[in-house]
Amino acid sequence: MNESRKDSVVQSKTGIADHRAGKYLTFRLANEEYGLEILKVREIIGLMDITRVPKTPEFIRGVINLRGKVIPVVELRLKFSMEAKQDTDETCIIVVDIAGETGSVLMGILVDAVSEVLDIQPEEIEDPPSFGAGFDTRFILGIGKVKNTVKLLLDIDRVLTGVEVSGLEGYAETPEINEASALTI
Amino acid sequence: MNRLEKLLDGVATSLIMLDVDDLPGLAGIHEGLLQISREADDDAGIIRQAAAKSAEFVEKIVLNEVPDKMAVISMLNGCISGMQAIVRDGRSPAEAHFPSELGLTDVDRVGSSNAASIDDNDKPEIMSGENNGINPKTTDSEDAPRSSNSNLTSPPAEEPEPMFISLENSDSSLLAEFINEAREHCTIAEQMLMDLETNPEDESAINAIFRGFHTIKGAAGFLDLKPVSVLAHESETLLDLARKKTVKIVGAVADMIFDAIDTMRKLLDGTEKALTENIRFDASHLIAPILAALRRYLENPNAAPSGVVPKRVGDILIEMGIVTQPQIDSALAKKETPEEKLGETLVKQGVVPAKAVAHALRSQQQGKIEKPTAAVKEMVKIDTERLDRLVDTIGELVIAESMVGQDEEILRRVSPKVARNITHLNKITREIQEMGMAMRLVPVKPTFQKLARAVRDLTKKSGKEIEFIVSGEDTEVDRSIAENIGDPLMHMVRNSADHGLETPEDRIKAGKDRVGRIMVRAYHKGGNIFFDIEDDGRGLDRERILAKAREKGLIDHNKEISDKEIYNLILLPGFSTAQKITDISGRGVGMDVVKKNIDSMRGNLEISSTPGQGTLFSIKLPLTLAIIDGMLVKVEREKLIIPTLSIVESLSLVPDMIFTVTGKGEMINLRGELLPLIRIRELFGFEKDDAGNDSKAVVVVEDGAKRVGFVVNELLGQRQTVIKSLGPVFGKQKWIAGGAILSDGTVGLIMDVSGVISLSASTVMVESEVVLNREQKPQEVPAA
Repeated sequence: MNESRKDSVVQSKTGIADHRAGKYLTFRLANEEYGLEILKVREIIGLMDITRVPKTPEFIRGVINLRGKVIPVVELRLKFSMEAKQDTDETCIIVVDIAGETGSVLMGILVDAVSEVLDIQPEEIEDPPSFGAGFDTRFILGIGKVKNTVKLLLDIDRVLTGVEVSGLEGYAETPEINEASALTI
Repeated sequence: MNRLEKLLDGVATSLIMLDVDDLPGLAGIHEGLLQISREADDDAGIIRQAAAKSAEFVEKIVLNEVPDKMAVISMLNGCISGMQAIVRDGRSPAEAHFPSELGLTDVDRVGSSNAASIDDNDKPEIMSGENNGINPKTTDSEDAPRSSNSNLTSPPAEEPEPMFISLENSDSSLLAEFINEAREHCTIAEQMLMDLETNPEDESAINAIFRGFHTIKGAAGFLDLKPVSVLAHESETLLDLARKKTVKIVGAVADMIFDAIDTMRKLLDGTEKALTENIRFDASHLIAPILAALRRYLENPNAAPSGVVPKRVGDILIEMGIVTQPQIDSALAKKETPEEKLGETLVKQGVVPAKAVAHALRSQQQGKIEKPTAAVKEMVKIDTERLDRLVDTIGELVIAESMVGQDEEILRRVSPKVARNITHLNKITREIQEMGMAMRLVPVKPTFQKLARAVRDLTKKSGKEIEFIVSGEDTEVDRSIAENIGDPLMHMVRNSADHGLETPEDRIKAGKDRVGRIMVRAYHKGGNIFFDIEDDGRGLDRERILAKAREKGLIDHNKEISDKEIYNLILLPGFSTAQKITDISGRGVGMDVVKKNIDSMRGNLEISSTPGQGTLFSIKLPLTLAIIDGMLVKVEREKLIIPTLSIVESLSLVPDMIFTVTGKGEMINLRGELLPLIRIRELFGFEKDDAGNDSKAVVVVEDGAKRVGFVVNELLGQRQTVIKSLGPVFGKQKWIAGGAILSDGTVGLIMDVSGVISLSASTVMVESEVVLNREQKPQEVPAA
């Protein structure tokens, strides 16, 4: 184990400071490990009653009451088009601070389990590989290779900003269609 | 009123109402100014010169030769007021305070003997442009517009001392604190100044204004903000004279202090900008005019206008029926020196007995009524964010308390003593909740004061005489309401001043008092807050509104409609009977925006009007925006809240009542009215609850004229809940208005009734729905 870690250090380009380096909170989705910049994380809470908001995309699980504040919860599995899974005892909500257009917004993300906080060195981070058309990797900051495992470091702003824009548009359009048809009749 | 005065008033009014891009309007003003210049017969030729110069500036605006048109227009405003002061009030040219940018060359030389003494002080300022520049005229005219914005490069033309604010070495947190504090002092000073309007002798008010400027001066000196401290110093000097009763804060002196406060605000804005953007802020142009005015006045307080006291002697004499307007006019024209009192002239000419003048003077003094000063309460300032957090936390406490207090397990086991303690806890919690809510309340006084200030400015500009009466200044409203009601109120007051009230001449012709009245009231009634705006002007023109509505095809030609319906037409977008879009009203928010603002506060606007006697706008608002009365309903496993405001009635659903249209759309017959049903479970796609109580209640809701029934499982009762926004993520959906924290700590969703109805209409395109939908939309059809 130690041996291989040393190897990776030797292989990487040293001396260049990487702004992506730092502390990450890692969590699990299916059998993949993800990392969130620790500065984005407000808190981690256990699963609680989530009120589903009708007629919204499947990946928006609903809203919760976070000490008097109503915040939306996004089910990350569904957001990434992964298979849905029953909630378990390990299922958690990570509350993150998102830089939205109108200032910062609190949002919850529902993940399978929270793992640990890792300090990832610059030399352990690589740019995300390109998978060709149809696979958007813009929301991945980089890939951290720590102790033989791979952590996908998320740009959570990118992941969740999309939620507001694309997520609800389909539904928002319907009333307008209705208005138009009402006028033409 | 002589012809020149009329012309001037005409130009003044169109100037106020002018839009910078309104070319015909500008042309009209240009024409008016030239006419004034032709007709002016004052011996000194000052009016002639000023009018001609102003016309040149108007031309420059038309030809796009000036960078900041608004600044030029405000300068022209100053010039017009100067001319008015000479023509109407018989002041000497030196007292008229023409803006120096105008480039008048010999204002001071032709002035009275009094003015001669300040000649030397003024001349360098006006002439400096000519001394240092090649082609002085253009320098002057090009610099003029910049005077109101912070120009960073050009050296000051009129102000010898450079006034830079440079923040390189200052402590930014100290500075930010100073800006906040100084702004507050400005607000207080302004309030006190308004109080002085009615009671110029109020020493405590003068002292308060003095202290404000003094504090600002001290802090500004410490922070090395030279322009701020210089302005504060000069203002303070003037106020000190007022404290020593050398001068009275009325009329022009009050105007000067108002201007000083305005300039101070602009300086603070500039400083803030300089602070955040880390740039240097050149204030020279900004403060030059007010500093010049203050210094000129301080040089020789007696030379400046002693101010127009509430009523002019001439007006009082006319009212008393002793003289007529033409007699006054001729007396004004014959005044031997501008300083001679009108009363003296009249007595000299033998028009009026001296006793009558004395009477008039006495009643003029009585106009200043003693006003009791309100007791000052001790206050603490709190960051609004902290306050909101406190109120939020209290909400949490209430929920946590009820979760403990109503926990069956606890209740089953506790001893009487614990039960008593729990009751006690409950009582205290509720008290705290009430106090928390009360902390969000603020009096409407500051909002009203802004209105009073606006009316004051309007009175000055439009030549109309307006008495502004407010009542219920101490009425407390939720902070969010106080913030949101300001714009609509301002708009309606401007509307009343501009369109509602007639000119003094027209009012006298109509047999009314020449002074128009605008009354604004705030009061509580039946769990609501009311704001009334009433004027005693000409009233709404029913026929013109009707004609306009017919022309626009908004109403049927033959249909008879009620007065109320007609008045409500003015609330439609793009509906204005004003002949011309003006600055006072017509621009900015229209009545449709007023309506929208009020709607967004869940309020209601009613209009009533009597032709020739005035108009009353009455706004009804809920006590607070944060709390909503709702009916908690259960749909399968979900709990939803329907706002009580939209609920007409609820009834239990018997399957026999339902009949269908083309096998899909369900309706019930409710006392002869066909009511479409919306099944919330199906619409929202909720899973069926296996515990299995079938849908059995209908909540009849109303959206405008449209009624539908929501089918739910169960009514859980009325709830007062705090609305929480769902945030930007859900910003685009229309069917959920917000969330509410329920007593079990979960979030309940508050339905937006009209959103749910249109969602349903788009999902199920049943014919009956479409017809209903079209009925609801007629107002928007022509607008689209």
